[in-house]
Amino acid sequence: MAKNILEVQNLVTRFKTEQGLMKALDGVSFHVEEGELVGLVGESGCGKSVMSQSIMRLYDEKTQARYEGKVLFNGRDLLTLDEKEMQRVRGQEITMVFQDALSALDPVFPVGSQIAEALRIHQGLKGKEAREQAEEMLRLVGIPSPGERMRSYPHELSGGMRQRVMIAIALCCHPKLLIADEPTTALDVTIQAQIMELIVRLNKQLNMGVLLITHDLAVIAETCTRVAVMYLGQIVEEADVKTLFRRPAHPYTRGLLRSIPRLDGDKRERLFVIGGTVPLLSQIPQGCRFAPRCPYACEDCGRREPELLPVPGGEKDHLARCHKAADGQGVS
Amino acid sequence: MEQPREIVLTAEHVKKYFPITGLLGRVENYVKAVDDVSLTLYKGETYGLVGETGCGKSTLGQTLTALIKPSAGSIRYKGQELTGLNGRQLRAVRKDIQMIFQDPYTSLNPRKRVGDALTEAMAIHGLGDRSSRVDAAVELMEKVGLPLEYFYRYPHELSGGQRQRVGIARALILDPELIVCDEPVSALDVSVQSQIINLLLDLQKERGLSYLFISHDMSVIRYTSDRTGVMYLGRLVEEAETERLFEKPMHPYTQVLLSAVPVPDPERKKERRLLEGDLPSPIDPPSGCVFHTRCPYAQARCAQEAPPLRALEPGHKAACHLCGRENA
Repeated sequence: MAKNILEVQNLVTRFKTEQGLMKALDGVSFHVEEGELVGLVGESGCGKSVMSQSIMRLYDEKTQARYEGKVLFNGRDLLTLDEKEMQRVRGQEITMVFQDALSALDPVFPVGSQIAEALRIHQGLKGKEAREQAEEMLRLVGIPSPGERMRSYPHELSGGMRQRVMIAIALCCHPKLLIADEPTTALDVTIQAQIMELIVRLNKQLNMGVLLITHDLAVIAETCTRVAVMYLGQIVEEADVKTLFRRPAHPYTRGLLRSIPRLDGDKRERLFVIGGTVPLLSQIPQGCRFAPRCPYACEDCGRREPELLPVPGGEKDHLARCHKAADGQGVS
Repeated sequence: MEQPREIVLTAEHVKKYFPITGLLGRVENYVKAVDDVSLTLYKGETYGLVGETGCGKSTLGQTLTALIKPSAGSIRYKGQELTGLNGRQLRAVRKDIQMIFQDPYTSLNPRKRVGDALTEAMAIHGLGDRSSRVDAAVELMEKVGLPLEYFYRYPHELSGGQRQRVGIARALILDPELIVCDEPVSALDVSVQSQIINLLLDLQKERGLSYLFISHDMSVIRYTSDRTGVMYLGRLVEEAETERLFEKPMHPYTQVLLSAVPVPDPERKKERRLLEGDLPSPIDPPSGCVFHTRCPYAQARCAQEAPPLRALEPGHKAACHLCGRENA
């Protein structure tokens, strides 16, 4: 069995707001194995991006947020590191790719020098060496005529090309884990297909763990080996990708899967709708957080908060946060 | 199906070129956003317009609703020519042609309460008195699933899905015939997206509305539209009944587009055709067939001659020299 490169244990992230501390993540545990491609899926406000930012400790702990729990990276708890050590982890060992490559790149420098900068800072390469290596990185991410593109400014590149540059920068230091936060959301489908193929190729080629954060279940289905579904700051279901799509145990996962219009679905059938809306973080329901919108909820669901437990009789490592699933009654 | 269907809107050879001005305001070049597009929209149908960023689908939508003037071509709404109408005449037509926009955050006036946003449209067109306008607004709010207490709320107090419902109610309040939906669900989460799609389809059935449904999402288009047109670089490259288009796409671009759509089923690995390179600039589009620079089947002829959109089978048109031949 491969070892865990990242292990998040009971992570709680609280934001400081005018109404006091708001729990955006509430006891999240999951792991990424070496060279594994794990998906994290959920709708707006479920906390999936907070998760990625918390792993990297990007929120200012003095003014913005407070973390609890453990984020073990290669066995070392990132939450206990001081800022200097953390800075070494960021970009060296764990890197991130964001949704909006245009705002993540510096508009006044050519992309070549931005990649070279990362190489200088993290790998101590100098002048020519750094430039050559930067060109090599551009080639790795599949940018045509990398020598010329080195001199291009971000605004001269298309969205897909910019995202490739972002990935090139992220890969500079041969990280062991890449966190890709909605890397293709701003891109067209044909470009999305190119970028996802690139990420999958790099994942295999470099044996690099990838945590793919997205709202798009179809992207998850095509790329990941394991998936965690988030709802209101918690993981509500986790399974290998086939099990999740074939036998989802949590009513929320089921609802999500049934509500996407599909290329191969029956057109005459109405789209499934999950009733109600996602509650605000300040108004988290008692008991099971999904109960007010759940078609299977009973009285007990509104009182007792379910835990993330193995689904009885299910596949290995299939976890769900649902009383009904845990009772073995299942929901169907 | 057999009897001739009532035509709501026809566009013939519509072009929209945006001038690029250089020094001293001299026009140096044009962005050919929409280049020679013709299409027909029938009563009660949904025409899906699909394409990637920058293909001109939104510009076409705005041109067809007479929000922007076409550079050339003719647009007829129920036989009436829209190009060349003056402001007052246009206003009368706009009552019948409404729009729903992608971004419900920016398409609502942040300083207008929901109720005012809805009744304003009627007031502008001089319909009803104050109390009948409020009645109409309340009735529509119920119809689109907005709680009545939102009548006095401001847009920022609503969620994205609720705002899109306001957008839909506002489009409906003038009882239009045709609604141009420009990416109406693209900004919404999947669970909200399905609510809005169902609502739009229900309203269509109930009121016999015609939709021009613009989207980049092939799955949404397949679900909502009766007929679909595919745009690439300002041109319509293929048009067919939706089922047919998805089952048997003819144009190489449509084929690539369809193969790129991810399928939410991990056990169905499909063959994927990736496109080389990026979209060419609409300022200086490729000669001949606009797709030839990226087309895997391109031949010498494709670079020289622009293929017309022609019917290859009943109701199925494609703009490709090679379609209809064995090797395509």
